[in-house]
Amino acid sequence: MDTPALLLSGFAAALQPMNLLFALIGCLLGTLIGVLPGVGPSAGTAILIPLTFALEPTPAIIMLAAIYYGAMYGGTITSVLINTPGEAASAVTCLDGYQMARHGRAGTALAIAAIGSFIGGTAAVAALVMVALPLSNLALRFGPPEFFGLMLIGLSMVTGLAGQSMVRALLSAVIGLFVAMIGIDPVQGAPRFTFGVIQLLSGLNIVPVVMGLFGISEILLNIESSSRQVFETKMSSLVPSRQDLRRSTGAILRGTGIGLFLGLVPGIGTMIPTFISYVVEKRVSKEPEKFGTGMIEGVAGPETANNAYANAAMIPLFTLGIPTSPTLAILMGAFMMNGLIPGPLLFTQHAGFVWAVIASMVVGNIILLVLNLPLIPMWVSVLKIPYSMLFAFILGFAVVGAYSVDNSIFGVGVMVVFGLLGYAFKKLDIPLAPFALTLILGPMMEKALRQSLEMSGGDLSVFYTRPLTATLIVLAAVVLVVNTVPAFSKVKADSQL
Amino acid sequence: MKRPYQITALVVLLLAGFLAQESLRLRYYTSLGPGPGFFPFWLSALMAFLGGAMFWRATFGVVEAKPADFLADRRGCLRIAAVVGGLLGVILLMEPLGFRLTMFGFYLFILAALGRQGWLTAGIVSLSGSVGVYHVFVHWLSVPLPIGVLGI
Repeated sequence: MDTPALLLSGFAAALQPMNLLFALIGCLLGTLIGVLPGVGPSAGTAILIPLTFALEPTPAIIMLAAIYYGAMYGGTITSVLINTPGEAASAVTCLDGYQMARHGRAGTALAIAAIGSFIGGTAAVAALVMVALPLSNLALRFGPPEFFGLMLIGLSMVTGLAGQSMVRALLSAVIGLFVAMIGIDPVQGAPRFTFGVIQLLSGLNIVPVVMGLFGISEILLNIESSSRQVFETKMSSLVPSRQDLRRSTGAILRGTGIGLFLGLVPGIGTMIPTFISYVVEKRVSKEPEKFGTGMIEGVAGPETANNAYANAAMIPLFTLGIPTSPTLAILMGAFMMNGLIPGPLLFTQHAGFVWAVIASMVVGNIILLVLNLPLIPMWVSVLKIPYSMLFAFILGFAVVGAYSVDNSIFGVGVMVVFGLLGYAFKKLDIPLAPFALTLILGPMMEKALRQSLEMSGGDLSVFYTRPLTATLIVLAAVVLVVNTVPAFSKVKADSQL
Repeated sequence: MKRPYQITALVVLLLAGFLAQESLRLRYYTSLGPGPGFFPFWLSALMAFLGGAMFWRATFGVVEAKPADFLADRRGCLRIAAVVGGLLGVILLMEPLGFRLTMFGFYLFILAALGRQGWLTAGIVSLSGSVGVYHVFVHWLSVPLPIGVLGI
């Protein structure tokens, strides 16, 4: 079957009542996560994975993907209404979105953000549809050495996820690799780092680990201070004027392009596309001095870029099996829990599943556009719930999730340990994203390396005599150099201050 | 941030030494290529290098300013201790007492520790978080949760 036929069959599956229901639930839960300051998309997605345990793979991943892009919508609501981004990507929206709200134009800001997000998200899914088959067909020619090269590219992205310090990012990645190694060695079956603990023989389940690292640690950081925002802004009409639409059109188109392109670049993170879009809008504007006072372009561009980026980042995940952000690494973990490995084989072995999920992303974007605007008053009322109650519920939910992974209290213990580790990492400004990435990719890379060497009888030439492998390894080196040179230049510049 | 990074670097160096020692107990190389100890050994070497680099930068490099909220105040510490203690209590009591009773107590404790709710509100939240969640997971999602010695 060709792409249009596969996509149509995907829509037929995505529009089945049960799949539609789980896309709707995912969109609502995702928006809730986005709305709640202090619960980011990574933490939220990790904590909500257990909800999908009883589901078939297709509705399970449809729901988790909807949670992911739903969170991107939700973060805008608090940015505009209370000047507090629900998630990092919406931080730039505070600049003009909150000013619009102060001028009584909160409804217009939220409506334009929703329309822009819909257009950006849908354009990115269209791009995914177009490149999915050609890219996965290319990747189907991969053997273990090529997979090793691919995983090397994935791991070299760790350097792009470094925050202020490359050393700390690499340390986080190395610790993630060690955690991934706990259990039975994948090639020879020898136990590694199990220290006689029977539960460790099968390795650490990724769900309690990421729930602790991202979810529990965020709660611990949030409860340190008792301050909380009080919602005061009043809502206005949700219908943008003709002038608003005219001024937003260019910003939405530029935001789509920026988000779409940056979604394909590894290690960019969710904040950069929105900030670049904001800067571009300010540059092309005839009134740049008015940015920060409630310019609608300052909301339309970044919000579009945000959702275009979030959906475009699915392209490397689906086609090559490379997650470019911690949330996508968690989503990849959910794929694996359902016995599915993202990558080219997904399109041949589970075509029905993968096209249903892709089609559901279009459906999910429509659900978010139609549902979210009328539901804004409801999301606002959620913000009035005392934080102690919200955190108690999130903690309770995390306990259920960690327990139900293996029906063992051991999972809860793992979650608590990694929660404390994540808290320490955040205090020390050690990024968690490299940890999440290596936790997922590390074992796959080790397996590919060792299978490659077994294939060649221990001869390392297998990595440079096969053109595709050599190309991928060179690409990994390029990613490494591109990411590390600016970082070390910065260190040099800092030391000269 | 000089002292925290120096301490972290020393912990990393100790951990790297321990992991290297553990790695050497595994087979380093086989006739077919790297053994189970190959990757862990080189990773622990990299970890030791990174620990050393962190110590060097913390001691001789540009000192990063410590954020004002780096250490939680007394109330913050008590809240963190309450959450961690509550979770440890769940780990110890969930299997003997069962999910519903343990989580009911956990919610009451967390609500009291993190905020000031009336007893009625706390009771309703705790009941929905324990009995309600149990019902949803066990009966709707078919996820088994523990039943304790009291049969609840």
